[in-house]
Amino acid sequence: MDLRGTRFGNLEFTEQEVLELPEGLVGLPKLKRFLILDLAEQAPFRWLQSLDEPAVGFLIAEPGLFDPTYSLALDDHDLRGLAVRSATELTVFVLCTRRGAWSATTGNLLGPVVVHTETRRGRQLIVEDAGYSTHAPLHQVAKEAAGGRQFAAHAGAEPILRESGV
Amino acid sequence: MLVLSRKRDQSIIVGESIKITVVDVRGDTVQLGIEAPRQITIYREEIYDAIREANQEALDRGDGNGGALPTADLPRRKRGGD
Repeated sequence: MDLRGTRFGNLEFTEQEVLELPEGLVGLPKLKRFLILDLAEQAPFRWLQSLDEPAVGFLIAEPGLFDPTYSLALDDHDLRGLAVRSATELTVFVLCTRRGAWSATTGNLLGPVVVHTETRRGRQLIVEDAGYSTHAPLHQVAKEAAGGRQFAAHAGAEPILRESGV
Repeated sequence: MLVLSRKRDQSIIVGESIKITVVDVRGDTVQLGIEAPRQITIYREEIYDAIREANQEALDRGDGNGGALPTADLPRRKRGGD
């Protein structure tokens, strides 16, 4: 299939590549179908390209980029309709906001998107009570701001998904 | 907006399947118990609003919204095999 009118020009894609969020994103219920594009020059960031609105996309990244200790406690309600048998079937990404420099990019750790790796269906969650921010700075930037001299690993660690009743 | 007064342990029923009960009242804090079907998600309004705003901010039309990244930055998608 062909998607015209994206910032990358026309994109060819197959149905197997489509990521589906049946409920859309919070406040954006019409945006249900996406492709994830690699941004070679902006790794580890990737691009969540809307299929419903070709002009629209989101910068995304693994939450570990912002918080290496990021973890989610997911319950049945969070995972309803995703047919998850084990936490290993899930991947997590967060939507990012970039203001100018890449180093000023923030990640929305309060509203992560979980996706079943095989079925490619997912949902944006709202992680209440964990104290996560909608605009978490890059871990490395936060460390430097805190006066740390260590160079933090830039690769996003896979978030630990704690299973509870899956 | 419908405004109802309720005392502790009194409830209101919303539609066919949602029951909201005043569990406790202390000063200016009201504790509510909510019984609803599994598929209905319940959030504190300020958290829901924060996510909604963050999503709007992150939404990028390439027109300067949400800290647009210059298109020139981005490689065309290279597709192998087709």
